[in-house]
Amino acid sequence: MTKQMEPYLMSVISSRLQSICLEMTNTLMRTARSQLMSVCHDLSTAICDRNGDVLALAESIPVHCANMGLTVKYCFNHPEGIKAGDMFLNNSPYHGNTHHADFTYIAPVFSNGELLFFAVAKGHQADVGNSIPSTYHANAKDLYEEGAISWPCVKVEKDYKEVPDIISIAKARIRVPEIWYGDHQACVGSARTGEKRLQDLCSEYGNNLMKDFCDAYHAYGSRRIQEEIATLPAGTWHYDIKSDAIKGLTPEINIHISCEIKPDEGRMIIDLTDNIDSLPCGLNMCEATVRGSAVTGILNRLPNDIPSNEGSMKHIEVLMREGCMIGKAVAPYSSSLATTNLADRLISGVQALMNQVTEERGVAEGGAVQCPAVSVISGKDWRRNNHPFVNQMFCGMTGGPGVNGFDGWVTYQYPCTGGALNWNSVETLEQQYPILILEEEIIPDSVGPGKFDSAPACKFVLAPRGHPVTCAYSCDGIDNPPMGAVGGGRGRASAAWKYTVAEGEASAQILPPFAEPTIELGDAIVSESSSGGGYGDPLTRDPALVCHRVREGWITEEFAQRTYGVVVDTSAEKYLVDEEATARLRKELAAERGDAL
Amino acid sequence: MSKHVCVDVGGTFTDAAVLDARGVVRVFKAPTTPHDWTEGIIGSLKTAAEYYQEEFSDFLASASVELGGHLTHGSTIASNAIVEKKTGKVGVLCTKGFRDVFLFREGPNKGPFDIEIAYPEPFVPRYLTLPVEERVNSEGGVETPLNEDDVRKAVETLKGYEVEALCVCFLWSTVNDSHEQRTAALIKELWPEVDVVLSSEVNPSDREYRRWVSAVMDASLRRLISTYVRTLNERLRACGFLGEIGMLNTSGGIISASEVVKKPLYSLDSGPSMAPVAGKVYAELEYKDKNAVVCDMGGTTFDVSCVINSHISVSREALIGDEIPGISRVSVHSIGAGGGSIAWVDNGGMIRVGPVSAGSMPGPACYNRGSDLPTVTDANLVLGYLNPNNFNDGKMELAPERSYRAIEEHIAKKLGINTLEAAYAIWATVNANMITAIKDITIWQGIDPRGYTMIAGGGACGLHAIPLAEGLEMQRLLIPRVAGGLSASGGVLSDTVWEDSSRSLTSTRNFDTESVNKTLKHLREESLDFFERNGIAEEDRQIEFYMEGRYPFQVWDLSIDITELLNNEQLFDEGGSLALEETFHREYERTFTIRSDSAVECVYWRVKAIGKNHAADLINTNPWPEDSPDDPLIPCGERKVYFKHWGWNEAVSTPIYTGFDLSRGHKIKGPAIIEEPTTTIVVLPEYTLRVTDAHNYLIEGLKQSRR
Repeated sequence: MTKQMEPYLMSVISSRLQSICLEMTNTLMRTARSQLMSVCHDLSTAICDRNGDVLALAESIPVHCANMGLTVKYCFNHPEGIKAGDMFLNNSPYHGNTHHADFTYIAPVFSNGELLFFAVAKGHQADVGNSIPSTYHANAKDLYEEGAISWPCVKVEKDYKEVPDIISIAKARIRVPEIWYGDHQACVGSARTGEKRLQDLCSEYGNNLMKDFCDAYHAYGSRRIQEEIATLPAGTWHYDIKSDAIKGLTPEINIHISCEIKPDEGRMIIDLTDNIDSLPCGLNMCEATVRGSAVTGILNRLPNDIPSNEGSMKHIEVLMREGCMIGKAVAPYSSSLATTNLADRLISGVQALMNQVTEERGVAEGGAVQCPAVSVISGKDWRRNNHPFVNQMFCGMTGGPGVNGFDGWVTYQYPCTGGALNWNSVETLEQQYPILILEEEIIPDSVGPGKFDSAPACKFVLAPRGHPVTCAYSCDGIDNPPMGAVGGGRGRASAAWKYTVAEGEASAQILPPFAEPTIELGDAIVSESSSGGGYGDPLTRDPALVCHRVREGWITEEFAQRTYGVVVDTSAEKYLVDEEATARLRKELAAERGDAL
Repeated sequence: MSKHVCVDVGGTFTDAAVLDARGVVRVFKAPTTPHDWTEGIIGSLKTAAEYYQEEFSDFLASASVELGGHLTHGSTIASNAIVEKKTGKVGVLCTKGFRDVFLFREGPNKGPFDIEIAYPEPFVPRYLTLPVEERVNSEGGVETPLNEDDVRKAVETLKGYEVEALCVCFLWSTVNDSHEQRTAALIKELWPEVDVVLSSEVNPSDREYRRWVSAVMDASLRRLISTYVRTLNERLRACGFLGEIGMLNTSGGIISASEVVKKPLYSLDSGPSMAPVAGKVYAELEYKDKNAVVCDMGGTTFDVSCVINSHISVSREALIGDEIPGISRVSVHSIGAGGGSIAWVDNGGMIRVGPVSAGSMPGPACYNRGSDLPTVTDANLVLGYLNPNNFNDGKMELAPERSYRAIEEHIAKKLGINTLEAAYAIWATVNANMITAIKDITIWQGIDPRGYTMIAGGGACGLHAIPLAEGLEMQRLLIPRVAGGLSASGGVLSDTVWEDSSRSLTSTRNFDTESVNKTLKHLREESLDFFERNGIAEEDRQIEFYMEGRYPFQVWDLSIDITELLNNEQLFDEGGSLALEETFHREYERTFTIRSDSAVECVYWRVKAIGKNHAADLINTNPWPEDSPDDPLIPCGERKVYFKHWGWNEAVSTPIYTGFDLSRGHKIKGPAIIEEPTTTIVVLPEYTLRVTDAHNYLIEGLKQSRR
């Protein structure tokens, strides 16, 4: 039984924890060197309690939530034990981390000799020493071919001092050592800031009260989520979602999801054990990302202010199996892409499964990832004495699915980030890397149509300058574009191709879905992102909104007629709905498909 | 008798601050009149004239430059127009292939689990954003020449749509503006009457979205602002005002109406940006402190700004509506915590305050305007901190029994606690929220608030100031007597400020002294030109230079003051980049606690031309020398007030003082309550309030830092 805390103290201390998380995030974002962290916000910070359970999480990207505790708990296995002044680094997907590119730094927090918290900072690195210049190695047969250095929860600092050997190893094996070290310092600084602030909090309120608070706060999270689960019907539901077959690498992968809801017990059980075994490629999910993705799919369907702590998260159980592709990966199977691709499909699948359960916060499948617009680009910069560069871009990928009540979020990017990442500026990219971006615009008639459309897809074209540029990407959604929900249409398929600029787009050559082509001077690579699915019947979409989208060039007049049964009169500046013609057409279209509107 | 006056139009009230001949600043209020702002402006000035027992025309004349005074004005009209999407219709010519820059932005902020939100429409509709074939690269080379036919076609189309201004937005126009300039020349031939705005001129900074959106905002505000300024001047002159009103701008300074009309974008949020100006003056006056955190809490929002080493902090990151225009603006962060914020209990049994606000209509339960939901104001009333009969200078009666019922019904019963405890929990929760917000804001700027002075302003701040300072471990807390109109008071004291910037990319390790000096020279000439056309006397002129840069591969720029690093001609000497780099390292370390030794990429050079305003020198630091600490200190009454924090279980009788009865040197031990016409101060037990010579309120007894 948890001790009753005075209501005002609950507010005050939880507010303090939130403030500490924010300070850790700010420190990390503002001091990191790689664009991934500093601009795109591909990072997360958390405070875990003395057991390694997440207590508070700064607003972070979904695939990092609900699994930070897994990453932290491996500290307890360290042969030297946990001491004040330690700083652990865990990037191993076999040890509770997400994938090798996410470096998780963990500072244990002691107060008066007692271990009370862990301050955690996690960020996606620009390079991790993979055998190809990308932090995502889809074709890696195993972790050796993947090539990343694994840090299975090791100490990079002891007694607040750097362990220099570790730093030397990393610097020797990472393509951009100075950027890596800058990011390393930023993460360490962030975790140490959290440690210091938590120590202050403990000395202010005393260790015992802090422990009581942890219990009370978990109990609060637990009550919040149970109340929500109690509103759902009891039962078991199933959903299947497919990712594309990749020639020479993987067959089409079907993810089977089953979800049991026990409202009276306040529990949900997501069962993923009925899926294929791990494959010799980089796409295998791992314990942390299976859990993170499945929980994210559920959280997307619950109110957005449920505290992301273990107290609430433990009510969503995720069953998985060791050695399963949608399960707990075992070395040497590679989990290089464990945070994207299948993870994104899993999130989309779980949230779509919930459409069978409730219309509340209903949502279709999100856009498939990662088209060439979010490539890891690498090469040499002739403007900086041919200095090598490698970094992932975040732009040119839209993907927001239709939502019950709202059209898709345009800059959603990944289901696993839920639109929380920032979008690169063309000028910033061109100043930092020797590339020329020729186009970044939405593709007409590309929405997944519905009563609520998905966001339109995006076309992105990039050409190298001075030297060839390598673009590593893993583009799902060419054969299996995202499904709509509740009568909504499918999203648009993605595409990857290149052409010779002088000859124009007629010289197009299709590129393989997963590849790291080197784009030669004079050529340009074209990325067409997929769009998410639509939500609800397109024939019930608000005609004024259809008219507006026609005016804005998102869709054509023909598409409006064919898909929504809306006839637009283009004689006025802002266009008008031809109400009569629309009513007639809608009736016809409904009759054609055999129902009365 | 000349007067220095500033009128600040707020959401509920229009404040007029007057620095009178005695050297005392006073604040007068009138209701804001959204149907016609000028009415509220004139209303507040009339209230002031009545106080001074002057004819309105005489009062206005005494605030004219010709008679040694001045009248300035800050408003949120530009900001409101943008937020409410009521700006003028603009057409855009953009680089082909990039019509959706206004749509994608930099990925608008969104919580990861927020799915029930609408994606914001682009600032300019896509059908008014037309592509032009052309392309410049990041070094300024022309990749694709300008297709003049595209320009002609676009202009013809947009002319057909009768846009009120045309905006030219090309990639890399900051490095090579020839395509934008040529396009402007073509437009002049094709459509001579139309206003043309170039992105490279409005805001020459990188990141196409920010530059472009700032340019279209500027274009869309032109007609609105010029009409507003013209009408206001005409109406004031009709009442007896001589000359022109000075407009407050986004840099925390005053600028003439004709300058504002040229770049209306810089009149964004001109009102709130004045609070730190006042904060700076009062922190220096009372504490000789050059560092301050300035809080301004009103009915709906809580605004925070900072003064660092006498510099009011500015930022290019601030949002306005759904957009980030990326111009350097006084950094004022607003959070939705005000007297009207609604308290509730969530389904996990936690007390929450906001983000929903009852605003001023229907307002808190105690306003008796139909809402029965408990708010922060209701909590303050139940706790006895607010006087139901003396709210807003007695102009509004509150209904405490409604507050009591609202808190009992919606909070106390749900938590199984008594109503006083529930009211206290609301108060403590909103305090915790504000502390978190202030920490977030200050940490982001690399400030440790513990070493700063807190200036508490706004009608509601005095009720919360002590716990805020305590929670932030700040040791100096000042509540200026003019707290109720802090922004307007700042407007009286602010300098004339004009800013411009230019982009010239170089590295400290390979420093292009010649081209940087060329840039600085140009900016200096622009400043001198500004001084000339605004008739600013030689001795009042001051020019400051700033560099905004970053370490390689970083994208967030840090601004440093480089004025001291320049020679007599305000240029760099050969080798001057060493000192520049060192200054940057130091500022970076101060902000981020990380010391780097890498080269610095210098990107922007910014000039701030300042025309000194001597009004601050006119403030009388001891206007009532005849008053003495020995004057009798008599409470005007007492009432039951609750201070649970100190372990008391019920409300206790507490003395109430009115500001009018207090003399310099008076010390009031808490618990006590001070009632000023437009603000109330709660002095918690163990703290002492001291009245300074200038008749401001200073809190003593804040504990030494715990660390």
